[in-house]
Amino acid sequence: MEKESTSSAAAEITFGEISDVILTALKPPRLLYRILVTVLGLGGIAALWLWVYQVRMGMWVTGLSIPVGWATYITNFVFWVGIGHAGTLVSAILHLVRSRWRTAVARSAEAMTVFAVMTAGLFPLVHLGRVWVCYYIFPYPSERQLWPNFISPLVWDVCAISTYLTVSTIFWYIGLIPDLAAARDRWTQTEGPDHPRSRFYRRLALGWSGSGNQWRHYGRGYLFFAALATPLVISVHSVVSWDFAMAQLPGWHSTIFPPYFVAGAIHSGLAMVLTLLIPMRRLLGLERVIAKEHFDAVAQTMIVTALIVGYAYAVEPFISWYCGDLHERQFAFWRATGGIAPLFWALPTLNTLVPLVFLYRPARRSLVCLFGVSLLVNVGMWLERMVIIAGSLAHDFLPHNWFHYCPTWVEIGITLGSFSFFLFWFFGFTKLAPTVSISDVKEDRTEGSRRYFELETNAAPTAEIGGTGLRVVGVFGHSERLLDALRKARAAAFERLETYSPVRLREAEQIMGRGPSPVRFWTLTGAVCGVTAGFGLALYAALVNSLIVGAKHPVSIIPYCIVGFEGTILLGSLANLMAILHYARLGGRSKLASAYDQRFSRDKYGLVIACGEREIESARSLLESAGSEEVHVVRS
Amino acid sequence: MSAYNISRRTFLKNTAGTGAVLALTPAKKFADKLIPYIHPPPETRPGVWSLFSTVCRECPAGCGMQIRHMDGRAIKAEGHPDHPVNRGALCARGQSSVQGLYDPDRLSQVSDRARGAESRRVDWAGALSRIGAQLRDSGGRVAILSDLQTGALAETMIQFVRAFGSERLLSYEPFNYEALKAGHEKAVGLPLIPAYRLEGCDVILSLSADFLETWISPVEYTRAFAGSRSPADRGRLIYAGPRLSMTAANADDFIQVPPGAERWLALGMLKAMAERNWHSADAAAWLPALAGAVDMRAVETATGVPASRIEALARVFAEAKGSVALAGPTGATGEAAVETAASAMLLNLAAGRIGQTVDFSRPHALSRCASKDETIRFLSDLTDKDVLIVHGTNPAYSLPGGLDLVRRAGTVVYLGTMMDETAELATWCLPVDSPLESWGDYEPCDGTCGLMQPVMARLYDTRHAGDVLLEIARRAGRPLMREGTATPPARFEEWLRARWTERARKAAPGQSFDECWTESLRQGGSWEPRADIAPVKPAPPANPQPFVPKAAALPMPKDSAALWAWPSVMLADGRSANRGWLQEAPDPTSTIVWDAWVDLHPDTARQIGLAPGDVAELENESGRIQASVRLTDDVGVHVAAVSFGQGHTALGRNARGRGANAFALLGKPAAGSVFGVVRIRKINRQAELVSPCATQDQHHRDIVQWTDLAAAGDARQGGAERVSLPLPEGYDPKRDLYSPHAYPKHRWAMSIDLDRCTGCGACAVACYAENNLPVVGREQVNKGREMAWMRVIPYRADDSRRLGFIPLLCQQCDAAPCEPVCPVFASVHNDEGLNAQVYNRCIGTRYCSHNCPYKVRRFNWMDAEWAPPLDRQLNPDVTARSRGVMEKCTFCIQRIREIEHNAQRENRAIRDGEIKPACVQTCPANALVFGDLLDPQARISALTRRDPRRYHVLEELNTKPAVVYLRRVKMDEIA
Repeated sequence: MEKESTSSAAAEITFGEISDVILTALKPPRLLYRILVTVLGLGGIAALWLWVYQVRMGMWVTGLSIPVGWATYITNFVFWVGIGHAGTLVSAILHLVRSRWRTAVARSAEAMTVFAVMTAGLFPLVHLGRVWVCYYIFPYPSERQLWPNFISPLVWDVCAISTYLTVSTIFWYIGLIPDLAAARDRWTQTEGPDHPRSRFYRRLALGWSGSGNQWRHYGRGYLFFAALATPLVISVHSVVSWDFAMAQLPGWHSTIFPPYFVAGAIHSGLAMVLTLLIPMRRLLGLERVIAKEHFDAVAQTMIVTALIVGYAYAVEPFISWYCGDLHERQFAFWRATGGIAPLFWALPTLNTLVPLVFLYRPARRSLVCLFGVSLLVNVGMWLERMVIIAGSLAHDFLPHNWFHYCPTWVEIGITLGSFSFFLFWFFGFTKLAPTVSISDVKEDRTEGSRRYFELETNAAPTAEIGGTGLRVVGVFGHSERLLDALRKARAAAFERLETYSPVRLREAEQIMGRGPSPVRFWTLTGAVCGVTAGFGLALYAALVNSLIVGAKHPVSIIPYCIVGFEGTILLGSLANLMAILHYARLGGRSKLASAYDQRFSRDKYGLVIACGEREIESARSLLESAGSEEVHVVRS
Repeated sequence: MSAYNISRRTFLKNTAGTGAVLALTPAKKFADKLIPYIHPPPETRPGVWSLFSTVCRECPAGCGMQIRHMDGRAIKAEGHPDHPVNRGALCARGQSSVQGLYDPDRLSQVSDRARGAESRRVDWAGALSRIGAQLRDSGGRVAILSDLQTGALAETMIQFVRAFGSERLLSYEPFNYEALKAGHEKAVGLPLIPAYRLEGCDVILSLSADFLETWISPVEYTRAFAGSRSPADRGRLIYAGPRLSMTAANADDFIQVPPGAERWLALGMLKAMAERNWHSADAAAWLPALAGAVDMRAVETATGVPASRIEALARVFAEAKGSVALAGPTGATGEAAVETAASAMLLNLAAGRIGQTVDFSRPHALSRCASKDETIRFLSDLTDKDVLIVHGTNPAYSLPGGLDLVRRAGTVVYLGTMMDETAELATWCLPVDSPLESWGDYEPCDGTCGLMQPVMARLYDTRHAGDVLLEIARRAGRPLMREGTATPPARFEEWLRARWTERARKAAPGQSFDECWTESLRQGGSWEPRADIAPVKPAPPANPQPFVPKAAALPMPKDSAALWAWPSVMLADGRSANRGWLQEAPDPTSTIVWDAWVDLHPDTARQIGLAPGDVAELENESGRIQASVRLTDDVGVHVAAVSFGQGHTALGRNARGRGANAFALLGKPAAGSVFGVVRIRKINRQAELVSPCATQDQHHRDIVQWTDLAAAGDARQGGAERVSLPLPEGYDPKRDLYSPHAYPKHRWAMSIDLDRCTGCGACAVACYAENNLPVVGREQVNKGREMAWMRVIPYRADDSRRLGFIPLLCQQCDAAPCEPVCPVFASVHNDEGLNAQVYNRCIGTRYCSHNCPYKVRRFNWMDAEWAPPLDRQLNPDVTARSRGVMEKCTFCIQRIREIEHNAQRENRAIRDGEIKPACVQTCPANALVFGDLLDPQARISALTRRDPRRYHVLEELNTKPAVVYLRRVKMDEIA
């Protein structure tokens, strides 16, 4: 293996180089890539064909049976949902705890999340006996006045997965906007404004300019997203685990499932991050931004998740013994010694013992080792779900029902197809959008070197300025100079100011004194509406249906908490998105301000002073005195 | 609105196009008549059930049946509640009779197949004329081989052969009980099969007689046997035989003895009775002489049972209020079987049971069957000038060497419903009416005469066998006439009416014939009071010597085993092997489906080098068969047990090429044996046996529970152990999270008495018939996809020689785990306590099944196919489910609704026992009780609330099932 760039080298990289490295990776792909993507696409289509075949023939084409009615498909579902956990964990939780290593891996992990949840979401459909009436599970007003059963874990699943897909997609896209603007500017510069790529990125960047005002709302909104997504991450796999834990089947009926599943999900998600990023980094030439220390950090996190998963493996048989229940004991014994034993013992080996090699620093630094372990953990985590799902079903209460399971070519084909489908999207993503967050990496480079300081100013907040009028634009090569100019401008009583920057400048926001973004109000409003709507929907549905199931009352408040929770997150996130778009003036028709310069998305900072004809000179001299590299006047 | 803005031109174009399509394509959908009558008869109301009484002709037992009929179609067979043989119950084979009627492989065309030529379709008139002409020209050399017939058809046959100057008419049944007849002749001078009155027996000794399965009249005997299983006055069943059959599994004492040693056991008991003076006074004349000839040590050697136990058995047998010894096995013709029958009858005689539990005054119709030797002689006499008419029987399959014997006749005329092995040999294949389409009568024993009537219009262009004979005779110029009548009848129906006119005149001289006839049709026959018949006196044996066998055991070479052929409760002699319901119904003890196999003791198998799943070849002088091996100690060492019924080379799609035909091995058995001996050889082939049950081991989970007799009778002990009722009174705040909910009108529930349940599986087959359950085939059963809503699971007790059969159906739990997990409310609780399944709402997540601890829900893996005309059997009251939905038992909700509707219309309350789900209705053992828990007077209320034997399966899960099981009673074995 070729000598890799060191972390110190990565730290020394300039803003311009960051943009170059990441955006150069988007250059038109080679033939091999095109062939590969075609093959992956065809793989997805083949799986679709298999699914159509299954729908047409009936579920007998699978290896399922009574009692083993769930196996490969639901395993795939849980596996892919699990993969989808790392992305949001990295972007949301690590964002909140300001963990620095997230910046290099967050973007691709988020993309992985979106595609994995997309893939996962197909499997509940694939496993249905009558997929053509799958819409019965959604809450919609039908003429039969029949609503779904909000007590059923499967309905919780629908709520959780659809919320998760929506929120993680928004989260991913919001994070992409500044980078899409950088891509837009680069392609406009090199290929001209009419190049398809330029148009593509211009459309997607929604008119992002990196103005101080946009950064202010954006930064606030992003924080709330992270705050909403964090409990969601924890909840989604808890809900998935309740698909099993709510049943009374030995092997499923267990209170440790939610933390066990969440830890397992993050474990497998991080493994998948390694599996995808190690080759991607090499193929796209991202060695300078994704450093080995980032992989090291992922590996260290995996040690934690491996130990949690290992703890769960140890607790399960203990509880089976300790609870004294005959069925549980016999089941635990059978799992360890029966026909399923080889698979069962593979789990602690692959998922706990193997990742423990990361306790040795050289193992965390060896790409071969990282990649190998990540593959083994992926396999182990898939098997874990299979053992839990099919294994428990195969060995239930009445011994005469005990059965076995073996997947058929239809199930194997659809499973392989799901990997094709997932990789197809991921490969597409690597050539269409920046795979590493440019603005985050840049911010990461600056944050450590700068000190926060309190601005002693009682001046009134500056006003926002519109897109047209007389503008004096100062271009700066360093953020400190911009801030210096900004302070001077305020001291000189220029009140109509705007900054442009490739990263968020919190000091600039303080100096501008515009106060906290109102995005937070709308997010709260959305969240409150969401909790009300969630509970309201479940209650209304229960009262309309008024059906007794399992000797429970038609209205059962406790399960509705899940619906309420998902509603909170979903509507909170949507309201947050709307508020960001509104306040930051982002949207399809937004035009860039005339004072905007394409260098502002790369490595330059701009201070724009809106003034009258008479003040041009004083503004110009102010900017020049603050160290502006270039000052020009824009009239429009 | 622009979408609706169609111009006149466009409208006309579209209309013309649509019209052309409608006119030119054949309207297939409408071709099939939904209701076969254009003008329905006034008594047939569309959508309303009507019942037609008839007689079940699936075996010679002659049970009465009621056929549930709707809109011109027979849908479901049920036992006739008034019939003295079965009293409303029916076995699995009886249940399947409607499937026989609609069998897609039924003969529907008259065909002529001159030897060596291709089959040709001909019309009835031509065929009958030519057969008649041949009989006339050949000088009338005719012979009739028929299944067992009594009454009008038997008369017609007699007249037919007489008309052609012959006496050659033979009743042939594969199970002719000739050993029983011969044994009885030897013992008491009566070559008859008596009526056994098991009702009054508190001890039944079965010497390999599987009287709960196929032996003579299984439904009748099961009912009587179950009657003796009340804890207050519980009878005892002692079974001695080499194989743990279903009957043996129900025994309180199963004594495994080598084949043929049953007779030694009986002799030992006779000796003990003689020595201890436990016999009746009459027996003193002959018993001591016999006892003197029996050496107790030889008895011990032959049976492996210590003398003390034999003595104890003898005492129990002799001192019982009523006891009976029954001799089997079914289908045996060997010398040992004859001796077994004889010694069993001597036991009855010695204990004074003749006239009490054994009644020779009303011999069974089976007494008229020809023996195997007679049949062989009958067929051997045929020449190529002869016309052999075979009716409803299949000697080419069930008679070893029958194929060649039947071929001896120059012309074979086959009258039957299926293209079986004999039909394939026939020159003329004449499709006759199925018994359900026929007029007729059948008298299983004197004084019990069942009357058959067509229960629906003919499916095909078939004719009644009687009509065929009348017509052939007419065309041959020798019209048949009933004795004592003046004119030849035009149709067989007239013959039957003439016969019943005579009966009516004798039975009720005052009544008009029409009244008698209508009454007989309604109740399915007529039964005379018993007093009419004079008792028959047995002649005790003069010389005891012939009863004592010469050798204790046959020397057995290492690669050989004693053959033990046994008829399964589902397929019996194999005539109904083409019926999917019966093929898919698991064998009660082995739970194997769709196959025939060889049971070997593990020691024997080890000697020969056979492992489970290996195919073995069994060979003796008369033939050879190949079948998979199952290793089990249900059979003794050096025994190879094979079931009858499979191994067809014809008959239809389900039967052909499946398993092995045990009849092929039943030539003349070696002297002193029951079925003879077979050499066993390993074949280099593996064949898996398919079973829907993974194991019979309970794994200490107490699914089937046993109790001893004392506890079963002690209300206090049982009463202390509570079950949580599926009612508000079952609510316990310490354990239940949710407060109770009341049922406004009914709470349906069922109790299943495991002590009565014999495991026969009739309930499961009835469920298939009633609820449109599809048959999925061997492959799919092997993949865990059988659709049975109700299954009878045999679980082993700890000693593994005791089986407990547990019918498992939806438990209709109050706190049903299946319901809350359904995302779309397809599984809901209705206000009568049923776990309703809304098929149209189901999206097929299968979660309900996963959360059902009893796994009694079934998923539709594929669209069920009912090969026409099987689709006509579908119950119109029950949805035929599509692929992808979950389905389940709802206590036959359609029947509940029917009765509720009737009661409401008649403005009355529902009577207890009025609603009978299909399984309850058919149970020969009356093990199932259905009713309303809210009715304090109902039987179900008493059983559920107070019976000391009651328990719930998996009670600890607190599902509060509405099905309560009554524990099986474990009697102390006689030691």
